[in-house]
Amino acid sequence: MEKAYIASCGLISVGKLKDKGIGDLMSEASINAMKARPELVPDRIIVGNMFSGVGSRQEHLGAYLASLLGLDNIPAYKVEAACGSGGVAVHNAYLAIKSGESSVVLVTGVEKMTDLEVNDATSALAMADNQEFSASVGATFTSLNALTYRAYLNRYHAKREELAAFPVLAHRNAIDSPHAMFKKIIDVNDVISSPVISEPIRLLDSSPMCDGAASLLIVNEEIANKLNGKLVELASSEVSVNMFNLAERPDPLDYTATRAATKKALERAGISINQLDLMEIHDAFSITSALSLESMGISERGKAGKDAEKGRFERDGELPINTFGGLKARGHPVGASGVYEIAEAYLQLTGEAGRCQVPDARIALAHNMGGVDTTTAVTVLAKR
Amino acid sequence: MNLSSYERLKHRYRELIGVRCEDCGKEYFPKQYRCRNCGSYKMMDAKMPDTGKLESYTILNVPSSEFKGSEPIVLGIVELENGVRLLSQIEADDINSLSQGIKVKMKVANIKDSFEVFKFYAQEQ
Repeated sequence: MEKAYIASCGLISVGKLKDKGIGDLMSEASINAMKARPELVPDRIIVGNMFSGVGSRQEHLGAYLASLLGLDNIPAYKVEAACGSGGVAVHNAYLAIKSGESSVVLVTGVEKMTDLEVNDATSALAMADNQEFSASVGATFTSLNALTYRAYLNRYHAKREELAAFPVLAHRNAIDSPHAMFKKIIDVNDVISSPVISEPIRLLDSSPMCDGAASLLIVNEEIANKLNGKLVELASSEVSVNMFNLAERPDPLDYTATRAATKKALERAGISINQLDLMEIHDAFSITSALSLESMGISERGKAGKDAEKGRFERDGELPINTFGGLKARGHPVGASGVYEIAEAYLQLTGEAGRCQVPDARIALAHNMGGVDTTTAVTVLAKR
Repeated sequence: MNLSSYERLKHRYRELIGVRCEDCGKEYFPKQYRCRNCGSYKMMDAKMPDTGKLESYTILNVPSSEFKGSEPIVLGIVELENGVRLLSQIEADDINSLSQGIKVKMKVANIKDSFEVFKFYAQEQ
C-alpha cells in the first residue's frame, strides 16, 4: 500500500478576524501550504469544516476553495464531523493517498465563528449533539461537558485546581506560538475564579470562539522521494465513534472512541505509547484534557490533573502536550482545530517549531474530537 | 425546535415515549432503530417510567439563542427506574440542594414558547 507524507503546512493566526470571510480564511491557509511547495499541484481538495452553513450561510466549500485557487476539474469536497472535522478531513486525505487514487491532496480546515453573536455560536456548536432530545431541552455543548466535569469531581474527589493546570499550561505554551490567539500567562486562581459558563466549567476552562484555517499538503511516496527534506510520514490515521447521546453511555467519563482510535493508531504505526515525543490533544475544556489522557491510558483515572500539576506535560516534561497552546490558547476554530494540531506536530517533527520546539522530536500523536468524544480522529506522525 | 418538529415529537416529549426491543426487552430513550443488546430491528414504542435519580447536573449561565433569557438553566442526567439514562432540565425549590443520587420525578412543563416537554423535579428526600 502507498505511504502518505505531509510535505508542507500553511497556518493563519487564530483570532477574531473581522476582515476575513470564510473564503479568505481557507484560501490564505491553502496558499501558505502551496507556496511552501511550488512544484506541487493538488489533485484533490478536502475541506474540514463544521458549520459554515450557519456561520457564513455558505456551503459547498470544496468547489468554492478549488475555484478560489484556480483549480478546476479535480475532486473537491467538505468533510464534517463537528469539532472533529479537521482530523476526519486528514483521515480522508490519508485514505485517498493510501488507496493510490490521489498523489497530492490539499487538506484545509476552516471555521468562521465570529460573524455570529455568542448565543448563536453556542446554538451552532450544539448542532454537534442531538437536536431533538438535547439542544431542544436547552443543552449546550459546554453544559454536556460540565455534566462530565461534575461527575468526575464526585467520583474521583479531584480538585478544580488540579484540572486548571491544563489551561495554565496551554497559555504558557502559546506565549511562544506565532499563530496563537492568546498571548497572556494565566494562573490557577485566574481559572477557578473566572466567570461560570456552565457550572463547574468556567470561562478559562473553555477554548474560545474564534476564526482560523490551517492547511496541509499530503503526498504519496513517489512524490515525497522527489522533494527536499521537511517530510513527515502520516504513519496512521484512525477514526472512531462513541454513542451519540452522552447520557446513554454506560460511563460518560470513558472516552471509548478516544481509547479505540488511539489503540488502533498506535498499533497501525507499530509504536507504543511511551515512544511518543509529544501529543496535541483536544483540550476544548479542562475536563476534556483529563478524560482524554485517562482514556488513552496515559494518566490513571482521576489523576490527569495531578500529573499536569507536577509538570509531566510541559514542553520540557516527560510527555509534552499542546506545544503551541492547544485549543485553549492557540484557539479552537472548531472545524480547523484538527488540522492545526497535525500541522503543529509537523512543525515539531521537522524542527521548525521555533521557540515551541520540543528537542529531538521524532514521533507525535494528534487527537481531535467532535462532540464529547463522539467522533474522534487520532493521527500518528513520524519524522522521515 | 420549531412547530413542525414539535408536532412530530410531542408525544415523545410529553409522555416520555421511547422504544422497547421486542426480542430482548431492552428499553431506550430516545428511540433507537436497532437494538444495541441483541441486534434486533423490532423496536416498538414504549412509555418510560416517570421516576428516577439524578446522576449529574450543571447550572448553565450561557444558553443557546433559543433559550436566551431562560438562564440559569439546570440540566441533568437522570437514570430512570428501568435503567435508561436521559438528558433533561431539572427543577428544584432550592438548586443548591441538588446532589448526585437524589430522587426526581417527571412532569410536563412549558419549556419554551408553547412547547411542552418533560422536565424532572427534585423530590423531598
